[in-house]
Amino acid sequence: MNDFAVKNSHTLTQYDIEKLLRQFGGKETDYVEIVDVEKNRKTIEKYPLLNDIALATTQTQSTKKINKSAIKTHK
Amino acid sequence: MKRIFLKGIKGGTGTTSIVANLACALRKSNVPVYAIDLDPKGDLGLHLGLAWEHLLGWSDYPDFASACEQFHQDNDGVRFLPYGSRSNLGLDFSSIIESCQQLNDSDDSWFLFDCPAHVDVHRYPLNEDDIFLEIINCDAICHSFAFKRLNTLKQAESSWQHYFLTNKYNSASELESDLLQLWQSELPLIAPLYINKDEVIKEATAFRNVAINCAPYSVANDDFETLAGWLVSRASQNEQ
Amino acid sequence: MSNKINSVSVPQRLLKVLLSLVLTKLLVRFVFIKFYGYYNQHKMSLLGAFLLPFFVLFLSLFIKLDSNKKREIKHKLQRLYPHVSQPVLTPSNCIRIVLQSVYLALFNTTTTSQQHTTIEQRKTWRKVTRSARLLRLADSKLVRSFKVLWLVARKQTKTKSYKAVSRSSIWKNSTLKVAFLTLLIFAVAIFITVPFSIEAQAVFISLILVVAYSLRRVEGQIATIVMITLSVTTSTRYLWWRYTDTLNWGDPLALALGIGLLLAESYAWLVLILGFFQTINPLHRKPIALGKDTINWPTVDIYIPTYNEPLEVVKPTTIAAQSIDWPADKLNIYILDDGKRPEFAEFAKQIGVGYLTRPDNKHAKAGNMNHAMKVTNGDYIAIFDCDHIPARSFLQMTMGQFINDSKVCLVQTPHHFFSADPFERNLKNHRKIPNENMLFYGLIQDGNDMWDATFFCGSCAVLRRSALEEIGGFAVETVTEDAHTALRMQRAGYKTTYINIPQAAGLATDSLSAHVGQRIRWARGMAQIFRLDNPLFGKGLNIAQRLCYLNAMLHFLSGIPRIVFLTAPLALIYFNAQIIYAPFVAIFLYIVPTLLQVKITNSRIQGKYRYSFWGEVYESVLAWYILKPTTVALINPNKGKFNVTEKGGLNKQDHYDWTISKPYIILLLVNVLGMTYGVFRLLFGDSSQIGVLVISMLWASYNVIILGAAVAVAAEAKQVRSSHRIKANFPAAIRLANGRTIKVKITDYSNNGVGLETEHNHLCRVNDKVELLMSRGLKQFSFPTYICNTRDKQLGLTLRDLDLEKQTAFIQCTFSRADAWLDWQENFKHDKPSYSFSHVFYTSIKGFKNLIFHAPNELRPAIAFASRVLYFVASLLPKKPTKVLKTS
Repeated sequence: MNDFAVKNSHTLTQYDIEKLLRQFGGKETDYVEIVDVEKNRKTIEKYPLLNDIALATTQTQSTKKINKSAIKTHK
Repeated sequence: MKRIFLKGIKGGTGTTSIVANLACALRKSNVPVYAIDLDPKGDLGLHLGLAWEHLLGWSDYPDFASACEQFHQDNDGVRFLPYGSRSNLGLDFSSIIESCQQLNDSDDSWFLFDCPAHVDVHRYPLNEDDIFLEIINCDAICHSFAFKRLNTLKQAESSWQHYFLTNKYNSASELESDLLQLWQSELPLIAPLYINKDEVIKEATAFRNVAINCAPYSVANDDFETLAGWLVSRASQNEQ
Repeated sequence: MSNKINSVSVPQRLLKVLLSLVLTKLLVRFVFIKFYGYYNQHKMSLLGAFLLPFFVLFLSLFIKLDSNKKREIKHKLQRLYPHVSQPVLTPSNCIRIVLQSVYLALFNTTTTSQQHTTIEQRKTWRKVTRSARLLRLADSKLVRSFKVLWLVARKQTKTKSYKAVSRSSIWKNSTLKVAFLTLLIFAVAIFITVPFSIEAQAVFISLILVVAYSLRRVEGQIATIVMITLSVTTSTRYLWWRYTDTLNWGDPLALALGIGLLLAESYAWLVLILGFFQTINPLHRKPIALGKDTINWPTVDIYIPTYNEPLEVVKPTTIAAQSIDWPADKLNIYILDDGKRPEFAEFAKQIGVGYLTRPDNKHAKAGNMNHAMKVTNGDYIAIFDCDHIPARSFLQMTMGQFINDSKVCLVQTPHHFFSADPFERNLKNHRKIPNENMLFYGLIQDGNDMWDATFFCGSCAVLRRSALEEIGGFAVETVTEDAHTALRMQRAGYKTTYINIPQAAGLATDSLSAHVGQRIRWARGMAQIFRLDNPLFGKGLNIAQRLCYLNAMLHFLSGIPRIVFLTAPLALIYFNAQIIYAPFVAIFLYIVPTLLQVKITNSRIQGKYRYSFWGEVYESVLAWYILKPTTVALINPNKGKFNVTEKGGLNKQDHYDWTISKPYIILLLVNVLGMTYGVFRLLFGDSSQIGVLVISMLWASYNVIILGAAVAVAAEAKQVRSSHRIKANFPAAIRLANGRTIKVKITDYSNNGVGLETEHNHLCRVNDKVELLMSRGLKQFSFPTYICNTRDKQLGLTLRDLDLEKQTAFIQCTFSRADAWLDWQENFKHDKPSYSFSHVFYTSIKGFKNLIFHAPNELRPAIAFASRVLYFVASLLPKKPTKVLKTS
């Protein structure tokens, strides 16, 4: 096993989007749950252990991820 | 047969409760469910109503046929096999896993294996239809273990379906809430659901029962049903 | 005794002497004793006290009057004349006695027991309900058989031969099409213009009504089109008849009034036809998905313009806007504060959104947004009024239209209100009947979308920046800058779209006066547009778009016609002016079926969005007020100023808004007086006019009911809470102090609390602390709360001290849910005209009660006097004798 994809959405608790799409058509795959990239970055910065691990993992492996948005400071 | 292996990424993550509750949840759809305790320090039997004095299990028997005597059935119909005390030179765990094939009476039967935290995943004879759930709690130690595990998984020779399942999640805690949000988008192989921290899971064992029987209106019940449903859909996707 | 007799005055002595001529000494003494007795003890009048002893003597000649018998007689009399009070012989009592005797003589008044009467009542009631049930059964059987027939006919269309015929290419031949169309128009013209005799008209109209009746429960577009065709035919025929046959050229007053009424009816006909055209085929546009790759998604600016609204109103909107599911680096939110308030700047900095102000306040909202356009640069601009809270799926539901078609410049979504508008609040109709703006956003805009004529409504919409820049920014020449901007963009060749899914909700107007003020602004703005940039002329629009704009404009001109309709029957009653110059039967045969037919068709088309007869009430409330602004704006479009609608105020107590209801009260009085005058004329006037008089009175009474309902709206109900409670239905959980969890269903929420329901009886008590767990998508949030009220399976929780992050999370889990407003129409059953009418009727009665209850102090003595007089008159009427209790 070499690379694993990060699968988001398709959870079983996506209640409100389900309802919306059920009423008005569209597949659940059409809706994109936006990841709060800024919050995740702050979390990693906040806890040094996580920071270390993050640095180590980005150096050694390239994990393919769907949904990688440019990390930009949004103020 | 559908095989699910559950192991804590470290000790004390609450794996056995998950096995017991999951077994009962799966049993609600009236299919054969077998739960096998592979943990020498295990207590799966206590979760499923086994008498405290009962000491024997599959590890006390030299062959599978005689070990099968130790299958107990709880009130919901879950058939479980305790570890025992390894009094004689009994079976080893790979052989018990392989032997369970013989019990495969129907296609929809489920086999849940409660694996000890100290035995590495690579020691199990897994094939690509097997689902391996590694149970983690929302803290930094599990976070680091998870990433270490990802490294070792890269070097695995065989392939199976490996997931990290979060247990005892408490959203009131800032660390847990931050961490889970991070994991949901940044941790590969994280399962798309989590089991909430619920006092009833602990309390149920004192009643010699499982949480989903004791508190049908609790979040724990909902979580285990969701887990069962997700596993069912994963397994049916495997068959396609 | 002798002393008493000795001290009598001279007239009494005289009397005594006179009497002793006729009667014995004993009797004379008896008379005097009784006289004094009655006069002093029983306080009877002089005459009564004098006469009564003689009466008693007279009686004693016939009946042996011992004390027992006397008592018996007394009791019997009391029973037979229960409403005669002591003292007995007053003038009013005499009237009572006379009337009661007549009543007793003429009517059988065997005193039946209370039980017996109720049994009888129940029997008759059961007969009534049984016959009603039979009628309903017959009706449903008939309707079902028609439905079956219709389905059979439809199945036939699926047969091969029919398909072969209908698909054959002769239909494609254009000359044949033209010929067919001309034939159709010719046939319709004949139907409309040929004058029928009364009998022929009767037959014709009953045929049409039978067809309409049979199609009542048949669903489907074709049935609707058939009903519309029938309505168009009957109403056009009716109008033709009116123009050709019913003007009284002889009498100048009747002619003038008749022409006035005719013009009003032509207006109504025009609006009807245009309305059918607009709503015959609502588009129900579906959202288009964007691609999965968010790299390609465009940048969006969100403008939240505000002027003087409080911060608590703007906070949730801004927080929800931040939570919209759109990549953070492509979403820019700006508060456009024309009030230049420091706390807003502070708040914007705290949560990380933009804050823009400008040096002046020219052109109000449009100018504000034009200024913002200069300092921002998103490809698209989304606009939310400061109280319109967007759902998190807003952009993903709307932006697809732009990406799919580069000509699209606007995507509009419905304006939905989570608070009650003045009609709903004052009439206690909230969520029971569709509210006033439901017709426009639920049906009319959808119909407009079919013809590519969607208007911009100023909020809950997204616009393409390049299109805006092409027309020079938001239009500032009128007070409804939104409609004007969309018009300009359409002229420039762009398309507008409407997604009929509510993705935001806001506050309705607080009070009736604010509501009327808002409509005045819209009316004025529309009139200005028609004068400055007339959609009927000028380039860039196709005929369908022009007609849709025309209908929107006509809607705001409804002031004069509505007032004409509310006063027309009085012309006949007061002035005897024959405004409809035709025999009674003809009027009946033309008017009533046409009205019925039109009402039924409208009920079918609009049934879920507006209930019958409520449209008249809404129009009546606004009629007087939009009269002046529209006429002024039509004459001189630049007069008049922009008045902002206030949001977020609080009505501290019940009161009646007399200023705003003056017009309705005057109209009501005029109509009520007309009706009483009509009654007089009926009884004492000449009998040739009776038929028409009766029709006019019926019409006047209908007007009275509508006006009564309008009057009822002005009674402003007290607003109890300042944070509005919104109904909901989604799952959540609570964790108790002992660590156990319970799955719950959130049934309502507000700014700082939730109401929830458990499946099982819970054991929580007030003031317990619980942790509320709610999710938004994958994320779960925990909120510290305490229980503020509890019932068996329900709990009310109040959130404590939320910091900004928790406030954001709370809004994300509640207001910002993608399905938060989806049930805006779900609870409304289809319109039932008869039921709706009775509802309006009861509302009208409430209106009258309100008038009396809230009467200003100067009028109270008059009202009290009037009620006392009524009560007195009622007491003179004969009453049923009370039941006799047989005592042994």
